[in-house]
Amino acid sequence: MRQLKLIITILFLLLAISACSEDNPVENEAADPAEGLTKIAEYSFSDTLATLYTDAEIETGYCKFYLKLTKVSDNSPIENAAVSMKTLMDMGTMKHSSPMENPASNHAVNGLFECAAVFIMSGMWEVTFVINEGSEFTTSLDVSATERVRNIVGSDDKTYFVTLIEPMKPLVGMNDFEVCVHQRESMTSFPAVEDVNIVMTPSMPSMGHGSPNNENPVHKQNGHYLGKVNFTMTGDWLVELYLSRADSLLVTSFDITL
Amino acid sequence: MNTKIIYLVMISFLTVASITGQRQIRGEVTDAASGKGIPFANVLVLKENIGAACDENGMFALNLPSGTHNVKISAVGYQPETMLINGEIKYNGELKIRLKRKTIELSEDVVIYASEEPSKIEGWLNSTDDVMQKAEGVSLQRRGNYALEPSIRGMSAGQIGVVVDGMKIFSACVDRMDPVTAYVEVENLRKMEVSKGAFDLTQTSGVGGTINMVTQKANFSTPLSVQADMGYESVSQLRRFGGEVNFSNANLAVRGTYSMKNSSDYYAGNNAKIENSGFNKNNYTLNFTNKFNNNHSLEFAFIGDNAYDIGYPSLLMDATKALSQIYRLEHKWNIPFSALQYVNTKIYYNRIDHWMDDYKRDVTQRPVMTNMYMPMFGKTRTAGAMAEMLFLENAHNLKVILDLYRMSAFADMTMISVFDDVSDMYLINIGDAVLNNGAVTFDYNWIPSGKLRFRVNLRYDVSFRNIHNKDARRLLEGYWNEKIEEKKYGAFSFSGALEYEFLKGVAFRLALAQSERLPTHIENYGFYLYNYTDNYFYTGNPNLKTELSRQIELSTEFSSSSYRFSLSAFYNNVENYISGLLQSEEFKVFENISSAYLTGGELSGKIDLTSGLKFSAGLSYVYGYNREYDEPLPMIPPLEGNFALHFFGNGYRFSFGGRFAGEQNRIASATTSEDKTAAFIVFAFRGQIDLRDYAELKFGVENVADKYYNEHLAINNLPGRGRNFYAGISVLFDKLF
Repeated sequence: MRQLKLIITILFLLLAISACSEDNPVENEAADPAEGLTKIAEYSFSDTLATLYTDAEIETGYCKFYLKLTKVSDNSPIENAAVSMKTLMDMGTMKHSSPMENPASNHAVNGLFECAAVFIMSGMWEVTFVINEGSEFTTSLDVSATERVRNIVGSDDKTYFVTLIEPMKPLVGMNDFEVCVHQRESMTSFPAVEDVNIVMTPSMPSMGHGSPNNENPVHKQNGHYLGKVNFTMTGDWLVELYLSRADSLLVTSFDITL
Repeated sequence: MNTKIIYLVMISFLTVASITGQRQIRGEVTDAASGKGIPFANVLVLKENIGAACDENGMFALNLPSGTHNVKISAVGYQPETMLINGEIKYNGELKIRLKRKTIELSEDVVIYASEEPSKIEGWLNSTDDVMQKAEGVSLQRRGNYALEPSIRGMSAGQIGVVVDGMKIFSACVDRMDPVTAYVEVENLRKMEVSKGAFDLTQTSGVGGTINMVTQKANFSTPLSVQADMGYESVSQLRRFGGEVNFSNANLAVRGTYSMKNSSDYYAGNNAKIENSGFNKNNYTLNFTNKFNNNHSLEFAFIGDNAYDIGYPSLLMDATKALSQIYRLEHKWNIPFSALQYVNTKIYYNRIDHWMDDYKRDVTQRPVMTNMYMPMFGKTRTAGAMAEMLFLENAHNLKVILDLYRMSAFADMTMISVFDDVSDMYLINIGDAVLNNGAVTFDYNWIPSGKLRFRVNLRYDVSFRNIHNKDARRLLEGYWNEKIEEKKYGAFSFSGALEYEFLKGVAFRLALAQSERLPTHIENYGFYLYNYTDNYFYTGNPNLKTELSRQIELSTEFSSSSYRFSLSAFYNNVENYISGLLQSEEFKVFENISSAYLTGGELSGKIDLTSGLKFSAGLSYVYGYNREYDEPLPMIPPLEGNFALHFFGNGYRFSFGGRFAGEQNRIASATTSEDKTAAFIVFAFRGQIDLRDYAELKFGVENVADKYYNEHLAINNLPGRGRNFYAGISVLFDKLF
């Protein structure tokens, strides 16, 4: 009986403590905008500290970068700056760039300037960030290989890059599906392609069936196409994409394993 | 406890030893509602051919020989009662027997247990499946040599209700390998109540009917009985062994049973061996009843059933293990001579687990799921409470039944390729579907005269259901492209019947019903469930409507002391019929199709030719039509029948008869892919001999001509069993010494 009372008392105390802590969450004076991101480089100019973050492994495919700029003198965030990026792979006999995306505006979003690159092959890449047309810094990244970028030649003899962005962590059931499509105009120019029509068919080759309610990806912006893919069980899935553009037809596929 | 048992055993031996001669029993037969004596009621000691008639006040006196006897008490306009009476031990004083007025019987009993009239007992049959087949209008779906699944008047699965002592139990296997009838062995069955159609709504609102398996209870009439059974069946080299112990004193009775069966592969006719058709199972039960006084009793009952390595030759895989535990606690409160006659309350819980796989099969050669092993698991858990009370007042009686239960179900499968470079696949077939159901039923009888009877059933079911597994929810939401919310169903069902006896022994009955059947958890929430009859994968539909059935039945009965004929005809119109609708290649989804109807009837007759010689026969037919697809409904049995000649006398009983079915050419092709089935007839001989009063032999030959045949309801044309010689013996040890 005494033990029971003790247990009940302890339970009440625990309950009270947990209730208190839920009611009064500890307020951060200022949430760090880079919370949860991985820092990959840091560089300081006269009164500016540039810190570069990413949100995933540095791998071939679509890779996002987040640049945080801080005024060193008073440690205040810099919200307005013209940020752009360049990528370069030096293969000895030739050099080439890759598709990339610069921030949509000169204003930081949640304190960060968002850029992205599509690493079209693995190896050492040099990534340069230019800040306000005068300051720049370069960092070298060792990009490991994945199967998320497809390099295909269309029936118009042009070279296209189709990159799988979502799902990164596929789950059974409905998933967001996102690809981006770029075209190689030259070794340094990879513009986004915004006018392809995409038909997507997921299937399980070992089972010989597909899944219902998939939505074909349609263009959103900057060569990004959004749709829905439904995985009805775990296992090896093959997502086939038929991209058509004027007279050109591209066929490619991605293996996705749940 | 131990000393109590020893004491009890000693007392019982002493009592048995002291029995000699006869004793006079006095008694009174009264109307259960009024308490008044029933004039000229009959009291008959079965097997002994002695009896007595009551006087004008319902009083009787009877000289009862030593031992325990089945005594049947009957009176015109009343439901007969059969009871076990042991003159020496319990009924030294006056025996009070209360009879209830005869109401309309909407269900048919197949009686197994020996306390009933011997010529009606079907306990000499080998299995629960054989017992089900005794009811006209019940057909069996065969997947192997184990646990056949019942179909009533062409309806099965979710359309019919199968309950054990009123308890809801749900099969765990999504491929219907484990029908609920598998869990009650014939030795443990007292009777099977079969109601066809939706006229009797007291158990479920199943549009097709209900089978209630009433189990054997602990027996108060003998201080101790110990019985052992063993038997053999040649067709599958089935070995069976079982035992039963029952002891009781004035307030307490306990019965425990154990049985085991081992079966190898069976042979169809013409000596065709059916591979992968063996099974092993054991079953144990415990029943514990305590009477607190004359009016209160508490019963605890447990059934455990374990089956291993069960072959399903007509399916892609075999069950490796099927475990079930069924618990029930029931309180009975009898209130004699009052408006409220009794209140029975029970709570119950059951858990069913089922594992199956295809590791023993050659998966590289099969047409579906080639090169893929697919072990599957399924489980259900059901907890429920029921309360039943009966109000009696002269010509009126009203039964009120409250029925609550909660069931949860889970099932999954892994697909393992024979090739190493293919990742394993995993799928949740039923992701923690939870159904919370409640129902209230009013069963009202009005008996204005000895010739005219009315019965009305009203039932309202509510159900709240949802799925709780996160991944399964994603699967279903992905499939339906919408959010799945908790689903609520309300379903109202009602039926009415009137029965009129034109003359003595000529009765006519009209019954009408409208019933709404709730979808099953599989029909709502199943995902990619493989159906062996049409080779499609089925997905549940969380938005299904209830299946609505309107039915009419006309029946008539002619009977005398030496014959009984009955004829029934029914018409059943079903709206929102739940059926698989083709979605894409290989896949179907459960939908409410606009309408279907079933019609047909049963005919049965029994004639006493001379004393000890009886002829019985039955015939049933169902015609099912799917209006949406303009084709026959699937899985409809053809014209079926049986006949038998019975010879019986003191201590022996023999029968020779046949079972036949016509060809079935009316088959579904749009909703499923069925084959036509040829007609067949098989003959059987059965015998039962009592060796003194301590042993009983049963033996027989089934499919005497070793005919190779398959029934229309056999999945993938699995043939029926070939010639089967069987023999069994049961010994009552307490009588032996």
